[in-house]
Amino acid sequence: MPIRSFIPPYILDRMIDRGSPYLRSCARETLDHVQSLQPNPGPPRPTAIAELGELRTPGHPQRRIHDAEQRMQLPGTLRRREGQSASGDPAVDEAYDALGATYTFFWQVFQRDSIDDLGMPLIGTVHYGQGYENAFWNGEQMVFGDGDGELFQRFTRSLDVVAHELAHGLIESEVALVYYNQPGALNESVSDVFGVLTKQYALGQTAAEADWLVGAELLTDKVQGVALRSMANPGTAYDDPLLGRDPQPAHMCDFIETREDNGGVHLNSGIPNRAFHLAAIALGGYAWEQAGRIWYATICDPQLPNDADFATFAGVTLQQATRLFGRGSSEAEAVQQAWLQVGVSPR
Amino acid sequence: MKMPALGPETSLRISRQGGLVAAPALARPRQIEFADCDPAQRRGLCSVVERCLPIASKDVGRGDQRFFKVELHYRREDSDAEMILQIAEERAPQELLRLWQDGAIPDPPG
Repeated sequence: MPIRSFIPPYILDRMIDRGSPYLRSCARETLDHVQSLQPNPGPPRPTAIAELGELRTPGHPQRRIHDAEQRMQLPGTLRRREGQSASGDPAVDEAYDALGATYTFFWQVFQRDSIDDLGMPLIGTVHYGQGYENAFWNGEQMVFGDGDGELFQRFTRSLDVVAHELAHGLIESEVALVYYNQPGALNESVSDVFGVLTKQYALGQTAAEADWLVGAELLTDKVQGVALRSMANPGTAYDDPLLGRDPQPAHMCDFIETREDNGGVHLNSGIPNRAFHLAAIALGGYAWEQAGRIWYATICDPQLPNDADFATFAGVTLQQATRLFGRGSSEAEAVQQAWLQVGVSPR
Repeated sequence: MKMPALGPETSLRISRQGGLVAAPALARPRQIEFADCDPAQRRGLCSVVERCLPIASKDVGRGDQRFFKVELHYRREDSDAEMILQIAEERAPQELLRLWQDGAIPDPPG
């Protein structure tokens, strides 16, 4: 269909308005490709997953890394499967290694066998789209863009981002928190929590040593910022002419009521993120041993409803802290104080 | 969902939402006032919205997947009304993408 006319936007888009020709062309190329959209074949067929599942080997992941070759069709061409040597493609090998590190974290710390605890294969696709500045979990696999190269680098560079996407799958297979409003923000927060814990575990960092940043490896030098999010200080990750300012609140008094972003799921997640950080710092040592254990037990608790708000979720973390470490324990006290510090009263 | 009758007081807003990166600038909202458009442009805008109707869904965005939000604000029987459509990124028609990206209005059908 021919384009007939152009009209100026009422709200000026900063990226379009101030972005470089290359940045604009990346977006354009993505759109041009989408133009040729044939029906997306969707994620790997369930039968293929079942076939891979037959190889289940508890304690060892089953990874499959595909290459979308800058297109937006999934899963793409298989580039590296479990046990094969490095491909030489950094995105393929980063995805392979990061999914392996994430599997190792969940297995060694929580004795969990993959996303579903049934050895589900870890399927990833890299080089998705052209200049694609996102990573996501589509219900059956993880997908990573290369970034536009000006603001964002390839999304496989951050272990915590790869682990974040895998954690979305894990959450879906457990509590399946509704992706809207407060339960949606909890869904995002829990993914951030296990994303950073995976990185801290891989690096052997204590809570005090960790940077508590999400996606610190993604922003280019041109961006005025340090990461996509800060769990220690939500709202401070970036303040950039092109990207805007990190909008995350750190306390319930700044909670954002909005219909955007599924009710602000990536915004208000700053509040429970900070609660986890405060609890982990108060307890000291390795964050996955106490705070992480409590959060993991919480999302696996059948008593946690899928539409839990912050107060309900906080209440279950407190119950789990008490169950795991005892009533009046320093762990239970730290968890309670952490929630109160961000303005959430556990229910 | 059916296409409402849209008069010259209608406002159309398109934004891209969701995704791992919640940076405000990435939404790139674009708002178009029907009052600023001629009749052919309005028909072109309506054709874009009509193409979105059958693929709109409330269940979008899970797991950091991006989606487009199409908002129509219009008058119906002397009162304000709105219609909101959410379109998964991979299902978005080319015309919607171009309208959001460039403000490019397609020729009206027929």
